[in-house]
Amino acid sequence: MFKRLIARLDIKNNSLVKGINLEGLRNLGDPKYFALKYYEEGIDEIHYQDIVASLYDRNSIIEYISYTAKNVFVIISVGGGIRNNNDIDKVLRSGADKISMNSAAVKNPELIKIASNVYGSSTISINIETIKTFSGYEVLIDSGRQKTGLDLNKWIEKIQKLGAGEIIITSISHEGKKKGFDINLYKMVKKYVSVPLIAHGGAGDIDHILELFQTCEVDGVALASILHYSYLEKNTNLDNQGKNYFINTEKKIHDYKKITINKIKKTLKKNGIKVRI
Amino acid sequence: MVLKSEFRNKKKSAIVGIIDTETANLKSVIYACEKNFLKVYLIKKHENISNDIDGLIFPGVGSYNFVMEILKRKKLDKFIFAFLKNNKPSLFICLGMQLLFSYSDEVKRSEGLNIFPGSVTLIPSNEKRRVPIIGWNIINQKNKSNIFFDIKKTDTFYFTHSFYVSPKNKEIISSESEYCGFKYCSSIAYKNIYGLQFHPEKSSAAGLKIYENFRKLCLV
Repeated sequence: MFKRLIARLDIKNNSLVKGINLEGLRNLGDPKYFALKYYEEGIDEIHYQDIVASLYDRNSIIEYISYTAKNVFVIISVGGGIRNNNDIDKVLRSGADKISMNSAAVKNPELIKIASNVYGSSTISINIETIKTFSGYEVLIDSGRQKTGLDLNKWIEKIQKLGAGEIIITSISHEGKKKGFDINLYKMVKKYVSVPLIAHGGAGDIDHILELFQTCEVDGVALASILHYSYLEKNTNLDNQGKNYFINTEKKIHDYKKITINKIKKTLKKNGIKVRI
Repeated sequence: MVLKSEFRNKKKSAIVGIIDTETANLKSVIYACEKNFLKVYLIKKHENISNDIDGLIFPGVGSYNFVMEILKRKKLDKFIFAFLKNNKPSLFICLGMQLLFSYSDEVKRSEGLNIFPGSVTLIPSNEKRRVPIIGWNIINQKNKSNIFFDIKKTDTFYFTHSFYVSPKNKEIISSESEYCGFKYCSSIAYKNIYGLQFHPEKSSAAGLKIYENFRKLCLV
């Protein structure tokens, strides 16, 4: 089986956004452009996350799903604001292949069972946002805004019993920082996880991804900043001027490296990690 | 998509009927067809259109007994039996392929279409072998199947499933795949019936080639 590179696109109000520790969002442009670009460059999966779906009306993401499904022939998974089978149906019918739930599943775990009975386990993935506490790892919801008191390991065991087909674990403290993954976290959860596991949060360089695959038994990795800043292009659309400002100033100052999908895959392959090229 | 009345005028390009059980990732399949110049007609219930379509696709997402019940309720099972009699090409994807067999133990023991004798069972998991299988894998072709024309040994396909088929008649196995030491049937071919455990519409360029091969089969 090949390790998967998943492009994670967080969407807020029609824009691709990226924050640090799930906060301080920066507008990066049209999500459709990025999804198509990543597909052409050989990404294994696209993940759209509507990050304010639980706060606002969530219709806009449907448009992105249908456009992307027409042009992108790899798995498109969608998360954010999915609360019942009607929501799942709507998302799948517009062209998505897989859905992921977080807040709704915590609030009503039975939802996982209901959904997996109808759509099959492999269509239902659970996204867990977690942060280290003095006693272990705690599960958070609403894009890291809300504590739940749930212990990570217990939650993993529970959702698997209910039929979760895949688990994405986001390390909030590492997310957006581009300083590497929470290796201890993914090593620790290994003995609790019996379904495919995706790591998210911290990829800043190819070495980080290599280290993750070499030391942890994860099936895939969700990448955001590392790709978005590499494929960022000047946008002439006036609505996105904030983004141009960023490209013209900050990007130069911080000297963002261009790390292509191909370069990541080639490096992984050279180091004995099985990837699809 | 085409309307039924337009059918006969558009015979030059292949028209494919897609079974719509209302649980599947239909859009991806429709878009992959359209990308390969296959015109699509959605079949939601039993209707007499076998002569008007050049091929049939049954995409599958959903759970076995749930989808089987829908097939029966809408008499789509009868439609499939009738269509297969005329020997036009048909492509059964993922759950679609599993439903061709006798029975499955997903959720509870449920009977399938029983076109091929054989069972659908859960992939045995262990510490290393996580189930469901989700991701990309290669296929080891067993015999030359028309649907795999021009498909290379190194081409990868996207799998997402917890169950696998064990055909009684091993001759129909057209490829096998291996997942953490577990070898299983990843596609079948019998006459003009093709079954794929993986999703060609989600397998990038190699997968689109399979749709192109299917279009050629439809035009024969």
